[in-house]
Amino acid sequence: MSTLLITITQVSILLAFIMVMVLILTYLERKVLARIQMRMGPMRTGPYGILQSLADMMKLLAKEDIRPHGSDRMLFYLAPLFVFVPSFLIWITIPFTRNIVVENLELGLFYIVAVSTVSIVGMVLAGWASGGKYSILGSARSAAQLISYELPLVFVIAGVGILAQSFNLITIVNQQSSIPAIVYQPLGFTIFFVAGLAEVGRIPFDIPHAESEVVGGPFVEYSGIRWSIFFLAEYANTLAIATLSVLLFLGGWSGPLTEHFEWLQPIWLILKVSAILFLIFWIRATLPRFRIDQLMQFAWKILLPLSFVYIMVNATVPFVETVITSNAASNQLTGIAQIILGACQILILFLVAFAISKRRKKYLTHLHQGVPA
Amino acid sequence: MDAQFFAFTLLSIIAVSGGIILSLTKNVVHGALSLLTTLLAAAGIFIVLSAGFIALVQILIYGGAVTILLLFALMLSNANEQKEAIDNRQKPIAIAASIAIFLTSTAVILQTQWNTRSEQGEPITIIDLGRNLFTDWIIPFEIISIILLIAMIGAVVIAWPEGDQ
Repeated sequence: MSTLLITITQVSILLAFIMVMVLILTYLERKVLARIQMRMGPMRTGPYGILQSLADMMKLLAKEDIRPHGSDRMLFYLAPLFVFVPSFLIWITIPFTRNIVVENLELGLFYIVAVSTVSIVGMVLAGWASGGKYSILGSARSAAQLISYELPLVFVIAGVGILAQSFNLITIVNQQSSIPAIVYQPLGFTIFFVAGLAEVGRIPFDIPHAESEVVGGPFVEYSGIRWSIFFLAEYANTLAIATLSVLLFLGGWSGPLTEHFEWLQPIWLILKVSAILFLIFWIRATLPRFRIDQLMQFAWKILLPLSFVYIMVNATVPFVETVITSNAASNQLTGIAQIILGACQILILFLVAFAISKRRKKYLTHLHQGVPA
Repeated sequence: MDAQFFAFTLLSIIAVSGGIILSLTKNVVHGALSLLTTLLAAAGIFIVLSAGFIALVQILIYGGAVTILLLFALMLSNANEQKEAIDNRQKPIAIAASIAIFLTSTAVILQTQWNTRSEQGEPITIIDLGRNLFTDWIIPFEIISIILLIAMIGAVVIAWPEGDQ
């Protein structure tokens, strides 16, 4: 029974850690956005407004718990949990350093993919249980987006698994101890980051539940503490996508001097995750939203074919390498193979960017002449 | 009572009660949810049997994809408001057919000599699985993928608006 107690303690610490991280994240997001828009951001609650998230949390907890007439009582109360529990469960296998991880699953990456799909059920249920037309429309749009962007994400994860010969996150990070994977898989990182942004519903991919336009999509009818559970799940997912990008492509906790000083590992991880989070906030402040049709077209016509190409390149280069060197035992790429793989992926990225910019130019000239494109 | 037996009993109770709720409830969305409960409990039983990969596939395909598809179909067709789909004259026939199937399968289960062993099997790794799939079972694997492709193209053709090429 003592192992059970230890597990419960670990999971509780993880839950508390995620709650605190979400509070910090919301504060940082507001500050970064404010700075980019030449505002001050929250300043009144505490020095530099650092207590703003706490105050917001107290407000949400104290709000009246409203359930609309005609909603389905049980599902209305269950749906937030269906969204939040998977977004928390994926954290169980995410390592912070070589030693700090709750359960180092051998199929860690696949576990993350499998568990996170269940939260789509929660989105659909939330819209249906509210009993309103708008919330059902919102949940249909949300689920369509999540399912569409799930595919490129899964393909990239499969490609990473092919190269690493493992789905274990610690193994994947250890293989990047000398050189981070983004150097030889820039295409993989790009697809993963873009699809990840869409998967957690961040701007520019948040039209299904744009707060300022359609006031929450599937969550229109939710308020107070139940709404805040959805909010919590969204930020926990944002943090998870940032951490996973770092673990899969940016070398995780490995960095200069980590061999000599063990305590530098978490600091490197925090620095890299913060950089990715800053990039996410920056994108939010800079880019306008996709329309829903553009959103779906981008997923199916650009991102999905691109991820097919990615997985083919990723499977071909190691195969050719083992045929040439006839050395099937080693599961890590040689330097030359890494260079070839990186060159292929950069070339593909360049070609796609070129094609998109050309089409955009054509569209803009049409627009200028008043001809519908 | 060891932990494995306890977990198995708990998961079995959840799975069976999910199935019972599914057949008794009149609300189809509640039914879909109890089906999801049963499927996830089955995934838990796979974990108890140390088949982690199968458990994850169960969660991904049945817990995620199939349930979402089901919910979509139920929601967009307003199945709750069509009472004749839930309650109609075919009820006695349906009850008779289910009792017959239940009795037959119970008889088969009771008469079969199950090859049960209490030893712990070697868990199959994903590397073994992949190697077998792409060497010994490559032809069935490719045939399945072609069948799925055909089904997908067929769905697109059916969903295509008429007269719009």
